[in-house]
Amino acid sequence: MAVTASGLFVANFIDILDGTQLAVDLSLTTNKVALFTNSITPNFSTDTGYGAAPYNANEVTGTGYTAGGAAVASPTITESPTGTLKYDMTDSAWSTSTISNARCALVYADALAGNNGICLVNFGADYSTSAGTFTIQWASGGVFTISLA
Amino acid sequence: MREGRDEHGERFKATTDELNNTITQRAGDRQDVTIRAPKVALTATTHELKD
Repeated sequence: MAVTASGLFVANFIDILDGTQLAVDLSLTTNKVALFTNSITPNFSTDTGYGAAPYNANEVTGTGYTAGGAAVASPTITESPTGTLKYDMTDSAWSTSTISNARCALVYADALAGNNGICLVNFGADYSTSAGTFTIQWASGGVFTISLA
Repeated sequence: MREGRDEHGERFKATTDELNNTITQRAGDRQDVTIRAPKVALTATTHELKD
């Protein structure tokens, strides 16, 4: 079991775009970022979201981290560059935390009943804090982009 | 790797790994982590047929 890649949740994006009209709103500050260990095995084709396998276990725990993760801050969804959809947010951080072996971050729609996954970002290795700050500096080009044109 | 004293005058040692993520060890066994998250980039591909 392991995290080997970052990605978006295909099933959810299908439900956003088809008759299901899944109401994922990337502009919401109720969306959250949760940290998981490398004991999960993501499947971007079938995974649905927080609280459903594999995201119903192996979330990090510890001082300064609340189950479910932290709310996103200042989310934006824009066209940047031309023809490209960009989702971005300000850095996420857990201060005065003792977190062990965080391997990835799940961004999900906490306001929806299904806590539907938006994207998963793989850190590439396990990282731990000790009474310190765990910071995710999202890429300058955005959390994710979809080049459409 | 960088080391020295921070703005509070406390010693620190910051190590950036090959993934460009940084672990900073500070006085009192404090350890911070800064993840430089990769961008998740997807491209939709369209093909135009040429007559």
